[in-house]
Amino acid sequence: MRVAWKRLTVRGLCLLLGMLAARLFAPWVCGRDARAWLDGDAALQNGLAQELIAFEAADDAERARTQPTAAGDRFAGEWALVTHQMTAIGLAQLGLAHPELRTRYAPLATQAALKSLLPEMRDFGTRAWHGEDALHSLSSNHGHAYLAYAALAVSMARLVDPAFPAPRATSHDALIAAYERRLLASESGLIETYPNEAYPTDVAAVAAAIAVHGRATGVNHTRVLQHWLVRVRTRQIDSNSGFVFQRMNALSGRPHDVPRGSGTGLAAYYAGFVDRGLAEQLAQALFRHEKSFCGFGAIGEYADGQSGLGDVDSGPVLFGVSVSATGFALAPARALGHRDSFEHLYRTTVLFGLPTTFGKGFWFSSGGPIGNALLFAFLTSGPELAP
Amino acid sequence: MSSSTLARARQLAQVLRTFRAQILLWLVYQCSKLVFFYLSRQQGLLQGVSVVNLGTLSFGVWLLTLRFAVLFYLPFTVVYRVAKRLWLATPAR
Repeated sequence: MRVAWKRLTVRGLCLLLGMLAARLFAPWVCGRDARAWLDGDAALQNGLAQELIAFEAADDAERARTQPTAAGDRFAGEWALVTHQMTAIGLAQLGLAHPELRTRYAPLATQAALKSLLPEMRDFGTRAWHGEDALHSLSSNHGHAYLAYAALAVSMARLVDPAFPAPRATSHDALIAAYERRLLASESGLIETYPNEAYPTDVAAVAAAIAVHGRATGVNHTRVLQHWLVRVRTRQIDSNSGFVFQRMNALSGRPHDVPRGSGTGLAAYYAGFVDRGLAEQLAQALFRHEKSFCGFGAIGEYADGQSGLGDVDSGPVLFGVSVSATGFALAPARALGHRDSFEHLYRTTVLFGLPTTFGKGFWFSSGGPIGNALLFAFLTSGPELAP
Repeated sequence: MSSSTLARARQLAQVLRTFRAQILLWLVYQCSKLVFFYLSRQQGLLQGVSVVNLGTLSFGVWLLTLRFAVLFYLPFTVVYRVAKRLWLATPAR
């Protein structure tokens, strides 16, 4: 009897040891590179940059071989634009972080940024506005905030590339001036992305594009940025959760959706280009909704008392956490120095992102070009922060 | 080849036999990871059109299942079996 009990105890201890090994091994494997990304490891940053540069080159070759066509639906169009935009922003951020690499990355940032402005890239927005092209209707009062993503990429390219083509700079100046006029005219601090649809996150991209344009050209945009900052703090942030509302009415300023983590994550990144204080405020809200398990972290999509299955903005919501909010939160975590949160979130990203290193390259296998472009911008964020 | 080397090789073979399921799991995972890497690189976003093949997506789900097994089940089972082997190797009295 004593022997049986002893064997049982030993088995129990072995079981505990096994569980401890699983508890330590998985976070260790997934978090090995977290500190290197935090500290700006050049090999990792350049590895991902090289792969995205290679993707852009393959995309250029394909576009030269065949007639470029617009995306079939709105979401495919948005994804295409964001892929080139985030690649450009990531390259510009590397140029800011490592001045010795600027001559190499700045022209590539310019190429990717200008590609995100091409007619076939913005066609989904033109169709949403019933044929009104954002760049050919600058005097219009329609918001066209979707193009602020491309405008921000161009602002960043202009910040790092002294050889940015002058004619394109002139048309970019005109786009920024139109955004400035529309934003100042909005009492809610919102302009529409599509007819009757305004997203505070997209307007944060508008503000970021204006702010970086000011840094690149020396033009003073303080008035419009203050106008936006005040309205974000007083009207677009839910006082209970600290999240920004996902969708609102631009005229009345009434929420059309609940406050959510995915919109807040991306808004926190964009807010960093304009005002560190606002970025920190949104980041704090995100990290208050962080859920951790065994060293892995993820951001909740909905505030307490609200729930949902997610949508195209959040990706699938499982156990209350969303893919997008978790990925987006990497940017403010790194830029604003929330090291613990960054490590937890990075482990989850690696667990599902399946990163592969080969030679000098680095690629998240399950991310595709858009996932890798987004992660490239978020994992190198920091140098873009407003002074 | 000396007898001690042969004995060691036999010992190693015995250990490998004990963990053959775990080794197989790890090999299948590594091969699947390689295949998925090349599959995912061939698809993506060209000409503004996002292309995601359903087959690749399904393969990704299979790979994620294997990844969870390798990261959580593998260390658990290896440590559990090694510890049990060491502690229960001598007959308890």
